[in-house]
Amino acid sequence: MGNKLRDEDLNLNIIVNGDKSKKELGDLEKSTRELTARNKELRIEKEKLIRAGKQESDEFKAVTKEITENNRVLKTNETRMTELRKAIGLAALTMGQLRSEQTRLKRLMDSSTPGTEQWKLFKSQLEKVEGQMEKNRKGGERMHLSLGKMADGFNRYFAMISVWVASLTGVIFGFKKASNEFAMFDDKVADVQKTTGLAKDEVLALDKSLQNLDTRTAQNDLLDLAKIAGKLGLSAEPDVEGFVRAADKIAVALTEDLGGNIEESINDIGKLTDIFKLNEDYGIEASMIKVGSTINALGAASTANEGYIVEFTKRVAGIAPSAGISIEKVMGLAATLDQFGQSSEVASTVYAQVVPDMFKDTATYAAIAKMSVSDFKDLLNKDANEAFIRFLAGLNGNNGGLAEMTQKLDGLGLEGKRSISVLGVLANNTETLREQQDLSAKSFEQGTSLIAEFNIKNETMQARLDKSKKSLALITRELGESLSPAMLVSTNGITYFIKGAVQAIRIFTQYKGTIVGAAVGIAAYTIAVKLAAKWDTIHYGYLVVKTAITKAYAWVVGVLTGEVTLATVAQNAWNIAQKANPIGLIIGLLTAAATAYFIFKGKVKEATVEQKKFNDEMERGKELMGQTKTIEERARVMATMNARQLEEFKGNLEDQIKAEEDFHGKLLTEAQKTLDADAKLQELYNNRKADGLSEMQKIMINALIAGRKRELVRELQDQDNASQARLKQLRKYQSDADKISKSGGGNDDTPLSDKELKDRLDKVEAANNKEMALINKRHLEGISSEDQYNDELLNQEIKFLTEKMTVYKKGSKEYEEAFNQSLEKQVQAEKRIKDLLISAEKELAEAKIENLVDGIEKEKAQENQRWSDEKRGLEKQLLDKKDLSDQEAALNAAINATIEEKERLHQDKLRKLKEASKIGDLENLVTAATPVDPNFATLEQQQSFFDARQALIEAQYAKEKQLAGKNQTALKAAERRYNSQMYQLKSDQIDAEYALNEKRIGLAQNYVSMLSGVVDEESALGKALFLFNQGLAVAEVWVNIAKANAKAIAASPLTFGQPWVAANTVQGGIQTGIILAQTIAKFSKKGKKDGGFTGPANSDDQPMGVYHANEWFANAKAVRNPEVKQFLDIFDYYQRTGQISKLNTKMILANLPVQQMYVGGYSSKNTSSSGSGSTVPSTIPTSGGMSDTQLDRLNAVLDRLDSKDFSIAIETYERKKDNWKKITNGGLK
Amino acid sequence: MELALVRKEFVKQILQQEGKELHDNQGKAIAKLLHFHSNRLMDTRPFRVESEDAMDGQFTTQITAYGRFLDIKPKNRVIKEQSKYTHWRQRRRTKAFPIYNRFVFGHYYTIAYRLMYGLTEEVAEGIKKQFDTLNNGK
Repeated sequence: MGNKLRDEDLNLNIIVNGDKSKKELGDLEKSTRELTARNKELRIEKEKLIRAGKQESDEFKAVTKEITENNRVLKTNETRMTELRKAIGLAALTMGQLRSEQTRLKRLMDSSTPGTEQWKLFKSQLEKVEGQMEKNRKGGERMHLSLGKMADGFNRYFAMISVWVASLTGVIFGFKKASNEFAMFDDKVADVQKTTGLAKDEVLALDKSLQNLDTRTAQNDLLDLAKIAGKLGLSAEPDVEGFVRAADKIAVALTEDLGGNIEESINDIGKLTDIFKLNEDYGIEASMIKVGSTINALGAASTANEGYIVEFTKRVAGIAPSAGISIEKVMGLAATLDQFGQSSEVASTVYAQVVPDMFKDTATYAAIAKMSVSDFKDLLNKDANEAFIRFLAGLNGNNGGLAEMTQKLDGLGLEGKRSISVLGVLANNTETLREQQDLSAKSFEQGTSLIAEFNIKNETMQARLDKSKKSLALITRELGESLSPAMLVSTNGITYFIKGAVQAIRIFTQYKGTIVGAAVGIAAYTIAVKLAAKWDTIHYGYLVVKTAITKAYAWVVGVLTGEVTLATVAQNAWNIAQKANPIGLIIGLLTAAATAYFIFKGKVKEATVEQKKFNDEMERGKELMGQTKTIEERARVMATMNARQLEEFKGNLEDQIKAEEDFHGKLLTEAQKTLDADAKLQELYNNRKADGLSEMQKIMINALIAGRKRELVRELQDQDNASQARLKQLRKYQSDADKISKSGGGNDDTPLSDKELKDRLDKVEAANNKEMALINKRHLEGISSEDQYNDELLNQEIKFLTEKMTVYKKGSKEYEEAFNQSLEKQVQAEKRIKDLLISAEKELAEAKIENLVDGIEKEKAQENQRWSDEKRGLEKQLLDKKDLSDQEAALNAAINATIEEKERLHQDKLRKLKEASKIGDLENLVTAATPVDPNFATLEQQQSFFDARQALIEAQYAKEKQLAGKNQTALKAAERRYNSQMYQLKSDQIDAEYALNEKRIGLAQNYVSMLSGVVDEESALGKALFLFNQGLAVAEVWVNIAKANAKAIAASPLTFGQPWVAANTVQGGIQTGIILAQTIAKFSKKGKKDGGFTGPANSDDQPMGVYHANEWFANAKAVRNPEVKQFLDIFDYYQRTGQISKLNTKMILANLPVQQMYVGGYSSKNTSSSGSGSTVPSTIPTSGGMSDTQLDRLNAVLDRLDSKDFSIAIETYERKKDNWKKITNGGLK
Repeated sequence: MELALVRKEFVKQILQQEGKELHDNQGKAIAKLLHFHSNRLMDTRPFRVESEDAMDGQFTTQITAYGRFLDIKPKNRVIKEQSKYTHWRQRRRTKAFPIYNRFVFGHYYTIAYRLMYGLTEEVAEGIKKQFDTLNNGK
């Protein structure tokens, strides 16, 4: 009960019905209750009497007697109730009745000895009752549970749902990642295209070929290398590929050593090979590898840094090749300089100044080198590097030389002191320089150092992991490639599913035919394969990946620790971590998804092929169906068969005859078996064999035997007779076919003679003329409408032309002519169908909302007209004279009451129509009722209100946090409150946003439902209202879905409201589909253009059929009114027999069942309220006109009518009125 | 049409019977449980059965407001009652006086059951006969 006491309004909306047993049971239960209560009272009374010492009084006796009587009745009731319960069955009992039955049985069990038959019986009955109760209860619980689930949702199943959500999120991100991977790849391809000038296909081929490289470098990085190749001017695919192969080796082997940006280093190396013109001698790949090997060897042999070597070489690349110094010598020099700590910048500058200067000021350098100028010059020209080393060697311990060089370098604009140190270091270490240069030259020559290093680095544990990652990336990329069209719809996770769903629906709508066809094949195939193998494959794939990762981890740990035990411990830790970490799950899901995708992709192709085969088979089947018509059908067109067809037909006939003969044989055997097996027959045979039988007895026994035999083989005989009849027919066909064959039958292969051709043409034409005559006749008789007539004509023409084509020889002029004509007619027929469709569409279009207001106005005018006519009619019936008798006054009062009542109804209808005319204001409601309405001014107001509320909540949260300080419990509580308030706010906001739309839709629906009883459903207005209502229903569905989705997103923003959003959206789609289906069904009903009754239905509101122009309808009330119906029957009869156009008033009057009409009552046929249209007026004459007898009868009846005293009717009326008052004002007074 | 009339009459009869029983039984319970000064609670319990176009029947009953309060379980209610030994005595009572819900809902479900299963052919025939008797005085 609530806080306040209010008037209670208890409604019972139940179907009033009858069930004899249940009524009796209810009555008995009631009587038992009453008697038990009465007994209780009587016992108290009895006690009182005993206490008063009145045991012997009459009163005491009466009480005792009543108790005894009551008990007897109670016992009888109990027995009867048990019987009834048994008869009704437990399933039909209410829970209350089951409970009382349970109590009864328990009591009975308590009072009987356990283990006895009686006890067991009660027990089994009790079990049944309890079983039924349990069943009922479970039904209730199930409903409760599903509601409970909805209500509790995240609270009760949080763990389960969160795991699922995590998986789903993983999958979404997985898909997104896959898509990104592909997008990135696409970018790389474009870059390669740009620098190399290769076409996309060539780049893709390059990518494919690079996929075969056994390298740890990621595929996208390889494409980056290809891009560098392009930048270096390589444009031929093999060159690019060679460069990438070599560069990849450099990258793998020297990544650590080159430091910084590996791409830049490779770019530099590529440039060097070009500057030093190595490409010309060795080709790009080999030269890169040689340079890489040199760098690697120098780096490995000393403390020199590989990056330094490249840097120095790059710096001197301008001067060294011109001086004829090879790259390996330069690199050797670079390694030496780095080894002795000289900066590449200064060293390279000194080198770049000194080397040209040696050519300029040869004398000075020759002097330092302690060589003659000419010798030094020769050496310089032959081997500048050697001359440089000689010069350095000369400097060693030569202070004068050093001083001179310092001056010289100063003169060249270099800082002498820093520069001289470079030369000094080199001068002191010429031996090292030579060694380094030798090593460099050797490595360059061999070019294997790099490959060796690459092989080592490409097989490390990390390298193997990288390779696995690379394969996964490749799979992901391919998945992304396939997903990219879907992902193109949106790159934003929030809208993936929503937009995806919309896109999916659109695609499905567009290609539903194809999709369904393919889907059936694929689904069947997938299910079978999945069960057999695919699932294992997916599972296996997952296991392989999981095991590989796990093992890899264990190896690494094992190697690092060197102890197995530690590795085992680490393994366990990994396992635990993997289980706890959803990343493991996500990887698993992604792998499974990727594997499934690949298998699916492969199978789709297979399935498509299979589906195609299946379709082909279906087509072939259809053709066969067309060819292998039944023998009877083919026999009918035997005459038009060609020779080959005739031969084939004869062969089939032969087979069929054989089959029938075999069947006859089989039947005979069967009959014999049946006879032999029958014991009664055997007995009769034995009796016949007995001795001493009289002649009469023998005859009797023989008769019995014959009778028994007939009885036994009757069924077989029937079958045999049918078979014989078929056989006879077949033989007749056979002889006909033979005759045709002999007369040179067959119209294709052997040309027909002119006479034969003419005969057959005549036959076809005669048949056609006959059909045409029939069609014309039907039309003239009014049986077929104009449209039907045209359709029939067209159909017949096509048929005639087709038959004509079978007569003419294929390819002949006449054949072609007939063929063309037939084609023309077929086009005409197609056009006709198209026209029909267009007109149907037009009808739908006309029944649109624009008609609503006009329609309502028209309806109002019609209603006014109708009522004024009816009212006038009623008023005429009023007796207009001064001194009215009581009866006349009563009659007038009754008529006035009727007028008053009808006036009220009329006003009510008008009021409803007037109200509904407001619908015009809501015409654009269907479009206006979208979830987002920019013109909806109050939304802004709402927004500011909710913003204020949000600010308040946030301020409150901030304050609470401040107050909580470091108290974690208080902080958490504050956060919980904040979250809950924010969710409530969001939910309120969503409610408010959608409330107005819902209200507007609801308002419009109210108007429409108000009109439902007022407007005829089949009228234009009715149709318009129906369409409008359906539009509202669709709008309502989507407003609700949008609201639910918005709430779902608010409730679970992390998952973007999934899976509810997707589920809701799908639900919306289904509901819309249902509504549209209703709409289509409503407008695609077959009409009753030919007129006639619509057929029976349970309710008058059930729509049946559509109407056409220039028709008139009688409603259900008219059909039920026997007075009206007799006219309708006449119309119906003439309509059905096609004579309606000739019907006139005289004929109608003549057909009226005059006698029956006025003496009261009507024939059973006429009272039929079902309107089945099967009734025919009993007096329909064969010819029109009214006979004299009939006229006489009519007059006599009219006379009798005149003499009727109406006071009887009024008396009856008065009496009935009183009774009515008594009934209606019932209740206790 | 005929069946509709019969049904209407049937509903009315059930409502009348059950309404009367409700009134009587409730009256008995009130008389037994409560003591009266003015008899207002007992006397002001009108009930009626009506029939309208929109429904088959309607049963309406009333009880004074404090009757409904008596049917609420109180925390502390002081009642005066007549005793054999003292003229009037005061007593605390924490139980409700079951004079309203018990009867209303008891009869409500009985009405539902009877309406659901009670309109058997015999009953319908009986009602038709009643009509005949009323109309034709048979």
